[in-house]
Amino acid sequence: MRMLLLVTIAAMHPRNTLENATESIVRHGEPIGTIVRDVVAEVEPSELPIVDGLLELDHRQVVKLMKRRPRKREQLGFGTAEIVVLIAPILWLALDEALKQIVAEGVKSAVKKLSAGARRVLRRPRRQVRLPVMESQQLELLRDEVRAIAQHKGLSEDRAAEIADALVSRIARGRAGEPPSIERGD
Amino acid sequence: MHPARPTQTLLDLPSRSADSIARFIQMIVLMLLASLAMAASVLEGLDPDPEPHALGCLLAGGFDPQQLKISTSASNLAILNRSEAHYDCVAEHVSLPPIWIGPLGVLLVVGAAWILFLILPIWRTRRGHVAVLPEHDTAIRDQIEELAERVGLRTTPKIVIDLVEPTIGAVVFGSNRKPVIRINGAAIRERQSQPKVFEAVLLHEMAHIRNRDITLTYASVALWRVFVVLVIIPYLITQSIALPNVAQGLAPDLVPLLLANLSLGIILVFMTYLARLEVLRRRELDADQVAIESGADPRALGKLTEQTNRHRLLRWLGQVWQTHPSPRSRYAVLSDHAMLYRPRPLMLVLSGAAAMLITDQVPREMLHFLKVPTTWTDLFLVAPAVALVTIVVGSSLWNAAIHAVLHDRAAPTGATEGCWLGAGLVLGQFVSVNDGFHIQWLPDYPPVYLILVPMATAFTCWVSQSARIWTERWPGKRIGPIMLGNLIGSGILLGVALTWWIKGGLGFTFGDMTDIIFIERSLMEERSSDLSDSYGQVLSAISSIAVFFRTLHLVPLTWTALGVLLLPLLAWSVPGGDGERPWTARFGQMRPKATTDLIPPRRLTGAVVLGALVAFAAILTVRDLMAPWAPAFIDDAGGLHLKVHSTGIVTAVALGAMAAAMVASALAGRYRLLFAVISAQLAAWMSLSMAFALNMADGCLGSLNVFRDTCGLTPGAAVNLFNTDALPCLVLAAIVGFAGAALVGGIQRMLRRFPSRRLIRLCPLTRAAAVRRVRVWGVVAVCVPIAGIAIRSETVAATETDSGIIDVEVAELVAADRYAPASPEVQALQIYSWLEYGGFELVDGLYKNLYEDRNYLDSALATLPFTVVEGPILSENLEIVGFETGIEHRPIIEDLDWQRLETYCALIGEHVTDARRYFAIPNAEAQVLWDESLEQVGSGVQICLEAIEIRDRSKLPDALDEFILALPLLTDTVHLIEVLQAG
Repeated sequence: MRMLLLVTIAAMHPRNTLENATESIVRHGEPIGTIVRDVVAEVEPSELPIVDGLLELDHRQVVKLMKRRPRKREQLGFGTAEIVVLIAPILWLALDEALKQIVAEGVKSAVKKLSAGARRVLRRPRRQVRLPVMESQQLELLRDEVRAIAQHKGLSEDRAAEIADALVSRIARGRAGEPPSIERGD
Repeated sequence: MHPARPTQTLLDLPSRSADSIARFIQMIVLMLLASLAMAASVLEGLDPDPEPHALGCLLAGGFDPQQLKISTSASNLAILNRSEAHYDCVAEHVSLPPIWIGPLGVLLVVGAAWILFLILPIWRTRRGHVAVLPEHDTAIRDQIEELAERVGLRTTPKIVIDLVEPTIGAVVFGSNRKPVIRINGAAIRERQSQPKVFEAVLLHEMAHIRNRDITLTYASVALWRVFVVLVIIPYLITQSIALPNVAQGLAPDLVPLLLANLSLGIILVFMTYLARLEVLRRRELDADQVAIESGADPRALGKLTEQTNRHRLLRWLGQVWQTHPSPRSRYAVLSDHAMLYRPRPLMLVLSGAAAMLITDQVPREMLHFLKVPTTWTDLFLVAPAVALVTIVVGSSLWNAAIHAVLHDRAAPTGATEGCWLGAGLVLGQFVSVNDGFHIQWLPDYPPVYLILVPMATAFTCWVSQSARIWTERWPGKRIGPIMLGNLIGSGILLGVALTWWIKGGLGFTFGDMTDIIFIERSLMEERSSDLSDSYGQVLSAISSIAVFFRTLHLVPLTWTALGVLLLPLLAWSVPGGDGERPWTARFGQMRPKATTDLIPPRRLTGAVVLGALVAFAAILTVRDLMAPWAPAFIDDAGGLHLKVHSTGIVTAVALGAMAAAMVASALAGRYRLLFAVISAQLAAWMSLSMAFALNMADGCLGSLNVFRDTCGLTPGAAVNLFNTDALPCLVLAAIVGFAGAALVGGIQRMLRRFPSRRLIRLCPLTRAAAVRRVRVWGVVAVCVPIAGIAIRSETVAATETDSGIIDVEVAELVAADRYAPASPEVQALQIYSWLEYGGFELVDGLYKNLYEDRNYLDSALATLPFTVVEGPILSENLEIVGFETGIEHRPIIEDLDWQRLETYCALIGEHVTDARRYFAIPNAEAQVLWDESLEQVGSGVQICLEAIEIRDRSKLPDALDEFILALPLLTDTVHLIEVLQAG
């Protein structure tokens, strides 16, 4: 009885439900962090320590961190006012956005909501968020999304295209030379 | 353009961080003292039933709530607030919050700040916001360890990464013991593409760790936040709530006081905030320097501090609110370290203002509670502020002097710095609320506040020149102890000056100038009718000076301060020239290039002798002028002639001191101020000795006799001269010494600006014409002040004649003039309060002792061979209906209980002492009667105690006589009080 009550309460919280449902749907794709790391290693290897740090965090924490406003100047702080465009957040946010769009359609049934709520209540260990297999049309959309974000952040058109291409080809290529997964999450 | 690596080395001065640490402490003390004072105010504000006895104690002292805008009443309130009687009344009747409330408030603030201080680093490193540097990333770890070693850190600080922060930067937090550096993600990424910038950023942060900035910075952040939330906001709310109540209540004129309280809260917020930012900016500049010394590339630092092109004023206005120095000032300091060692204007203004506010917030009640003697109270009040200003400003001036001497550059003179510090003192004084004067928007004489500016300038100039003289010449291994000694001496000078300001100077801003008229009139009262009118004019002139002198005697440590002024003479005892300066060894190759020559002793002596001769001539003139009046005073012990003589002597000594100071100043070169003051002091001592000798020989001086007409040595008169005149003479000599140095300095500067050729061009006169013109202007310069004094004297004399006030008793005169008459209702309230808060007990006690308990004395008198039958005939209501006198002889009774008699007289004596300590009756006429009765009873007590001491029974009737004479006076007083109380 208590369990049912908890599950119901969890199901009434749409935001958490969507995210947890996303996790439950995408069980067999590649972890987003791994994809980002591979792309960063290719286009901006100097950002690898940052990505390694991000991999220590939850997906949700990473997204929240990346959406945070830049800090104001702090006491005993020192540095330039010049903004450096980091590649990892561009990739991570774009992949997160793509993931949400893919999964959005799969979280319509109440059963899935309840199962996501149950997972939350039972506090099962969190997983890496994995990217489901994407169709070519989706990959094209992702490429455009990455280019748009990169250019909005201030990168040149060429650099933005380079990053977007690297990401799309990495997804298409699959993990470490493996053929890309064709499974869709449950 | 980027700065090149500076050629100057950052000096590791003993005082280098002392001033900024002291500034942190100054800010913290200000916040804690404000917490102490405001905690009580907040509790009072929360009390729905405010304490009525507080107003009662004020009314008992003669406070008139309907006449707050009359300056004399304002002054009255200020004086009342500080009187012993008021302290006693408040302590006995007013249920103030317990004494521990203030300290508890402070503890609460400190405790909350401490908790916040501990939480801040935990909050900043919470999971999800930063990541620990990955273990496998050895390249960054190795680099950080290497940088820590270069800066001189014993252990490598903990490093975390702010993963997504897009600027190349870092920040350090935690505490000095457990520092944490958080590096921005962007900095990590640019580590290889911009290695110099990455290195500069990290070296700068590590420099903060080495400079031990972290604990102080974050402690002040925590304290500041807690102060605003727990103290300032509740304080402002309670004061705002009280405002409408007061506006509609008994004393609507107290509204300005409450508004001043409100504004104090706001000003404290701004001041502490600005002071904190100013210190932080200074620490940033220091960290830049350490980073450069540790190998940071100045060009990389330059890149981090690129200049902006905003207007200077806008830049400054924006800058004072920043936690970091402007790129321009960073850039400037990178190019030239001198700026780092110079006291900055904002720091000086804030220090001055903080000094006054700290003094304002020190709770007087606590000093009273700690039994600090009354004469020392004001010195204790200013002591914390003086200590902090001396450390902040003094060590900063020392830093500037050391830097200037080692780099062979000009050190700050202290004049500009003094003006800024003085401006801060004036500002702080304006916003102080506890001085008892803020029942008006502005004091009656606001320009008097400007006295603080020359006072501060004298302090900074003295410190600056002392620092310079010792850094150039000190042959010891360490300069620190010399600096410490000098700062202690400077602190004593500033302490004495500010104590004088609190005790006397401040009163002048609110109408205590009227004291001049009182003294003048009281002097007039004493004069004999057969003296000429010119004597009255002299009295009028000297009364102004007498007011000032009166305040000098109130300040403790003045003699010590005068001694401190002579200390630079010790500089003669150390060699100058190119001798070794071992204390500079720590600065490598840098050492003073050459020392400035001191004024030769012979020349200084010449200046002193010249000054003494001028003073001697003036003293003779004074004696000559006084001689025609002397016959009226021969064999007259009256103090009036002595007062005139004293003022003449002080003026003469001051003239001589001024002459000595100006001559020494012209000859002393760079150390003009030090030697001007010293020569003025020495000239004053010499002049005083001459006056001393003349006084001893008074009576043998023919036409110059002033007090006696018979020849013979009179050491008593001479000693008296020393007791009364020495201190004013020497203080005045010190003041004119400073003034003389400033005058000569100004003239010399003007001459440098206008070389002789330009002067000639500006003033195309022949030499003879120029001399004539100088003479004319000289005459004008002498005549105008004299004419001014004469006109003023005439005006005052006319006022006296119009009011016919000369014939009135002095006490009445003073009372009538000081206190504007209160309305009958208020006077009834005042009298009621006077009786209620202690007056009734005193009158009743005296009556009881003198009437009912008189059997003690009667039993004593019964032991006499006769009895005096003299005393009041009392009605049933204890009212005197008549007196009878007579002597009745009887046999001697041997057994007299002397002990019992002594107890009796001592008890009455205690009543008299208590009555004198208590408030004056808030009515002039009643007070005169009360004074007379107390005088009478006191005299009886004295006779009685003397008789007991020598076991002389025959004196006892005299004591009884005095007591009996006091009774009708007491009765009259009571009758008058009853009439007044009835309104």
